[in-house]
Amino acid sequence: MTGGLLLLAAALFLVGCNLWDDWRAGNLSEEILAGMPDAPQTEEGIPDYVLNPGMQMPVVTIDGDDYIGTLEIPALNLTLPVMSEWSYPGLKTAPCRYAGSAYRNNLVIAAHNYRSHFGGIGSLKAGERVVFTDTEGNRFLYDVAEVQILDPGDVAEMTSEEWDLTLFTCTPGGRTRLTVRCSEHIL
Amino acid sequence: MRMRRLCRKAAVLAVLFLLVFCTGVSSQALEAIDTDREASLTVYFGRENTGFFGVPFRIYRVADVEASAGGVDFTLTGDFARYPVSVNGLDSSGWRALAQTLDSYAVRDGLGPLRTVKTDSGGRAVFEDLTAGLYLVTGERHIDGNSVFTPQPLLVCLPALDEEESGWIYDQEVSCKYESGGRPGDGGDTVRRKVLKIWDDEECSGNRPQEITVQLLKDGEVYDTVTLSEENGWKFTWEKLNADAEWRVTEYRVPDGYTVSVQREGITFVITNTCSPPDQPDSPDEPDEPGEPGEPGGPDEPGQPGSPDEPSHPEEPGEPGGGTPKLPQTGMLWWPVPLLAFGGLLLFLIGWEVNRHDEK
Repeated sequence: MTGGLLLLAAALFLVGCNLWDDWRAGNLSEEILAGMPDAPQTEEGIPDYVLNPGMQMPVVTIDGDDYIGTLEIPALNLTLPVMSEWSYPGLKTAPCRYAGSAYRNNLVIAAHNYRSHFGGIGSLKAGERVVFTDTEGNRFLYDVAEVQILDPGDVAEMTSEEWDLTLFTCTPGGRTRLTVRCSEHIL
Repeated sequence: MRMRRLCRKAAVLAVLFLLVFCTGVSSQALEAIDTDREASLTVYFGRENTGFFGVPFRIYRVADVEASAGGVDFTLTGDFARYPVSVNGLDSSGWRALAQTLDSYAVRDGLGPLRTVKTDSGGRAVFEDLTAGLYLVTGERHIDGNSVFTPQPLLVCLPALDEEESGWIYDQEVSCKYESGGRPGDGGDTVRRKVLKIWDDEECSGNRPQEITVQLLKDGEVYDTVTLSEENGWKFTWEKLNADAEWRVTEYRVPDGYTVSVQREGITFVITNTCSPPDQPDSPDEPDEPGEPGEPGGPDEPGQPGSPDEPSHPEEPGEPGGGTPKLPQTGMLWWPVPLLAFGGLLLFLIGWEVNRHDEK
């Protein structure tokens, strides 16, 4: 009986840890968003990224980490900073660029499946809007195209340049990757 | 705020001229160009069939031209031979950028034109007695009422192929592309100009310098010099420049092994440095035949062999399949929760049942 109580306590402890981790990550992302400088007014003339799509995405540095912009998913009431390069410590703070560039229409963003991060992206429906804004104030509008499930080894498929924007996170069991494919919004 | 619009009237003609007649011929052998024959070029500058009168146009001979099996080859010549630009294998955008680049260099370095001719009442500047070659043509701004028309530099190949690509045309007429805008006020209007550096050097990015220097020219004179580097994102913006002046940009000291082109897009000058892979070395000469070998001497006394080196330990083998890249693990640790809860509940119930049984 004591062993059973210990196992139940361990389960409760794990639930608590996960909930705390989720809450902590959401708070961290909010703090980073608050610390991000206001994007400058869009300059007159042709944006630099149009003239040079191969350019590095400019970053702002907050608490020692580089960020390339913010991601908005209105359907989930989410606005999150996006770190320039992915790492496991980075993923505990904010969504991270896994590959690509918004300027070359092949940006791939990874995030934990915290409810405050990408935990809800599986509910997105085709046609719903996703917006990425870089640190210079350039806005890139996308529409959700489809939701896929990929295996952890499908790196090439994840980074295939068929899609203008890709968001992914782990499925609840962690064995596969929930992947949201987006296409550039045509005005 | 001044409104500027790019008037495309007749501009396509010049681009097509270069593309179709100068570079696009590759599938057939061309007859040789008669370099002794005189050629002429007529440049039209005007709008809506009304030519601008009295506008000076300058012409520079930039490159020699010769027909080749693969099309037309240009070789920079005269004062232009020193500039690190690419003059072959260009597309329409490349030709436009080359014209702007050479125009800026010519103005900055005060190169004397081959000839200067003013447009006649029909808006035509006629250059006669020219030899075969690639020519840069530049003109001065023209003010008409409240509008300012700024002719864009253009490159013209003389002679050009006819439409059937069967022969050369030695007397050409082209229309000059121009920008138009409102006439600036009395010195109060200002403009912004940006410069953006692009590196096209994937094959040899190791040679890329840490920084480059860019000159801003005001009516052909160096007005400001800035350094571009990774630190400033390879770009710079000049604010509050006199709107009445002509602003150009040149790169000072192009890095070794690179060519440069400067193209203006709106308010931005895009400087592209393209890496030129080094030429292949010439084939080495055939080695001489070896002479007869001499008589071999007796073998030396062999030395005492040393002790063998300590064999190194092989590295631990990695995890099978450990090198296969995988997508990052982005999930929280939820899967043990139902297992722990179910196991705990089961053990608790079993223990509770055993206790109850023992009490009986």
